[in-house]
Amino acid sequence: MRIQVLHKILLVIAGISIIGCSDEATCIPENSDLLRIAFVDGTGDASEITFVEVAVNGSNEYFPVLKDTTVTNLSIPLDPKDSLIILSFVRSTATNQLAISYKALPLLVDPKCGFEALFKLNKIEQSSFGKVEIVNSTLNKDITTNVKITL
Amino acid sequence: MLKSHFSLWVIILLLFGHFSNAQKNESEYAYELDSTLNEWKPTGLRVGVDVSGPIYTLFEPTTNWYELAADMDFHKFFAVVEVGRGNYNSNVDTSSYSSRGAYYRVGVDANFIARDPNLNVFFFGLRYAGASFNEKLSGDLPSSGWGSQMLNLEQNKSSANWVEMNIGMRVRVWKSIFAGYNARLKMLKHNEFSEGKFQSYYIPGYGRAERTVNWGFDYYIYYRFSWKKKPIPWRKN
Repeated sequence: MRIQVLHKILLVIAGISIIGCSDEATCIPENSDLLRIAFVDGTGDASEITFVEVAVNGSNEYFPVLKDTTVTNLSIPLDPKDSLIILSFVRSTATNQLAISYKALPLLVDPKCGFEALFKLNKIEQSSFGKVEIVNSTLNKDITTNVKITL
Repeated sequence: MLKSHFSLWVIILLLFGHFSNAQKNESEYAYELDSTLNEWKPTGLRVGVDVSGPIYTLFEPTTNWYELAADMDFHKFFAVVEVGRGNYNSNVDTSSYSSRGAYYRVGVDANFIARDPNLNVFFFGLRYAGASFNEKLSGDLPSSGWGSQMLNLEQNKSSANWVEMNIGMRVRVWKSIFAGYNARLKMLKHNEFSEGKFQSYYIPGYGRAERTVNWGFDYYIYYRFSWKKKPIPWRKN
């Protein structure tokens, strides 16, 4: 008879646990579509740089994201439809280009929250800067730098 | 939420420990066992249906599953096979997602009350599981710089594999009919979205794909087909 009693006790515990553990969607995005670029000097410290223009050149589009601005870092939105971004950095003295390939993977956050894309940088396809490195390949709200450009 | 999962397992294990200790106190039982009987030969096949899927659907209409289970005894162990089909369908505002597929689990249960004369079972088990499923999604994917993109994607033949630790019971309720449940701790080993178009959200038999640890609960009704009397020792008094 003891096992029948235990059976019922465990069934009640499981029932209470299932009710208590129902999921509630928070809809706070964890991923980001912003590519974060930091400019540093030879010692690794943040370095200010003045641009006449920074422009994004996707497969089908071209648009400036900055004009006449001095920055130490940039956030550039990636196109989830594309897999390559080409950036033009126009300075008064020179123009540099940077091409980065990436993959965008859509995901359902929750039926109540909708979709977001998980971006992952693949590699530096082309660069006219001296040193460029991908320091964090995943675009995430908590990551402050994805690509570091040493000036 | 994870904390409450652990609490559940701790309570179950404590109860389990208490109960299995009670079983070991054999001095109060005057068991006799016919040593000529081979306990390792299977004596029956128990076939069951998971009734928790249809009940769960009443409370959560997005999810449903149907499952059949079978086990065969080898002394104090059971070889177990479970097969099922699972569906997930959500449709909120303009976005929709569906996942449909089949899954299986194979494994072994160790029965801690193998000498129970009613063939009741209180077990700890291990499972290896796999699922194959097709997914569809449609809706707006927002983008901060490029405008929202309308998604309408289909991804077939995705697969997943995981391992489980199970704890549960089978209790004889009437003649050859048993009722019982499995509480499952599932650990995702591998999830492959074959076409790489989007990340899986729901894996049939496992649950939310982004979780590396999930838990589950299934309640079964079984019928035991016996072809031989199990060599259970009997009480003298």
